[in-house]
Amino acid sequence: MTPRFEHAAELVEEYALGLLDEAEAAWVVAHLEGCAECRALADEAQQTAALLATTAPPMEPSPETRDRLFERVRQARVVGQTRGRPAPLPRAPGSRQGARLPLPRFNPWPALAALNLGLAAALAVWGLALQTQVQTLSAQNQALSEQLRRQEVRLALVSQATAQVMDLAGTESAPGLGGRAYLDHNTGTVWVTLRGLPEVQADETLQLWLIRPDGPVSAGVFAAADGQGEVWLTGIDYLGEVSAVGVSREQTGGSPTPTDILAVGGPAG
Amino acid sequence: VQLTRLSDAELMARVARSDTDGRALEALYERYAAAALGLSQRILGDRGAAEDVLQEAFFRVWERSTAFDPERGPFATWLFTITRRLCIDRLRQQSARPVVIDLPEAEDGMGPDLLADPAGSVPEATQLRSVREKVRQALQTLPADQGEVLRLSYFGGFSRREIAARLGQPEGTIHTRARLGLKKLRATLQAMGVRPDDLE
Repeated sequence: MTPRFEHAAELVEEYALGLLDEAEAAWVVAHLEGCAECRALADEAQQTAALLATTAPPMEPSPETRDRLFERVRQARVVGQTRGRPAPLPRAPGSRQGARLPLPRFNPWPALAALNLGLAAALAVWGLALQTQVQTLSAQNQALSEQLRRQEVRLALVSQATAQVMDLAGTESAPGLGGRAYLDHNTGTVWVTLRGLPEVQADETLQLWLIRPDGPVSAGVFAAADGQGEVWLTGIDYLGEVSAVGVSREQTGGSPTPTDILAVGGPAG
Repeated sequence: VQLTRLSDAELMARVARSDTDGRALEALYERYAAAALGLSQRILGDRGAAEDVLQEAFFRVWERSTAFDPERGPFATWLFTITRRLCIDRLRQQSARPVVIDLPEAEDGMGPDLLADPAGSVPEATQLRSVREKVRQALQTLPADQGEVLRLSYFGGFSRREIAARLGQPEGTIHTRARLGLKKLRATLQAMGVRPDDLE
């Protein structure tokens, strides 16, 4: 026969040990919410009960358990799992039939299994998204690295005395055009900046020329954006022979010789 | 800051606030994982299941770290409460009971000591060792029937009704044994100078 109790204080020890049935536990929980004196008694009882845990012989966990735990935490942290303030810590450990919390009791396992399946699918999608993101970031990183390298070269070319500077001036075909070329004879690098470039037709392109004593040599075609252009050349092994730099407007694909010369310039100063 | 010098409460504050590299949680794991695993093993009687519960318990410690209130008790109490609850839930889910119930009791009266660590070789918080010995001693001072109820409830997860049926005793008797047993345990530990705060 189930005994009847007059006051929740009579049950705090059983509550701490998880001996109560659902109705009794709910009664105790409701009382503790409003009774600081009994709440203190319940905390005391729970702390004493928890000391029983220390009597279990300690066992060294496997390294795999440790690895799984911290990998799980790491992943949860990566996905930004929110660690909010959950329901208050139950005052009694292991009370029966939901006695520990003033919450509706339910079987969590089916929901957790479904959640696991959902999480697995979500993680797979997330993994693919991450892979794509990694590839994108890698490409961006390479582009940024290239930009940085070029900027370093620009700075070196501008600052070092060894770089040869050539100022370009527009011809009658492009009177507003101007620019500067830096030629690094040590590395065979050429950096050309241009401003005031005229618009070209759909079947036209801009072409850069390195002018040697034996004639102009095509350094390739390029496009302008908002009247500005920039050309990088590397590995030019005949820079010592280059006496001037020119820009021309040509048919798409370029020309073996310059036809519509837009700008030309030799060594500055 | 050397984390090993921080208190459990200080480490928990870091876990809740700024433990971006997980080192504070690792420090707590070093201190208490062995004890928590021992508790799980004692309740479940299955090493694999016990390790699973250990992982889950510490994950919940991380997940719910903002809910930890050091004013209400030491971290170890909180951890053991979480761990035990997970074990009991697992037992109920499996409709199984731990082997501890049907095996001879160890000297501490709390169940078999098949996996004891007499050499103290398992790394854990140092205060746990001294508290463990004193709690074991205190338990031996309890009347056998009171110790039995504590053992069946705490490590077996049985209800008052189930214990009463198991022992062939009225529920009121089980209630009295549980109440007196826990009160006497507390008083004995106090007389020995042991307080729950000693787990901090």
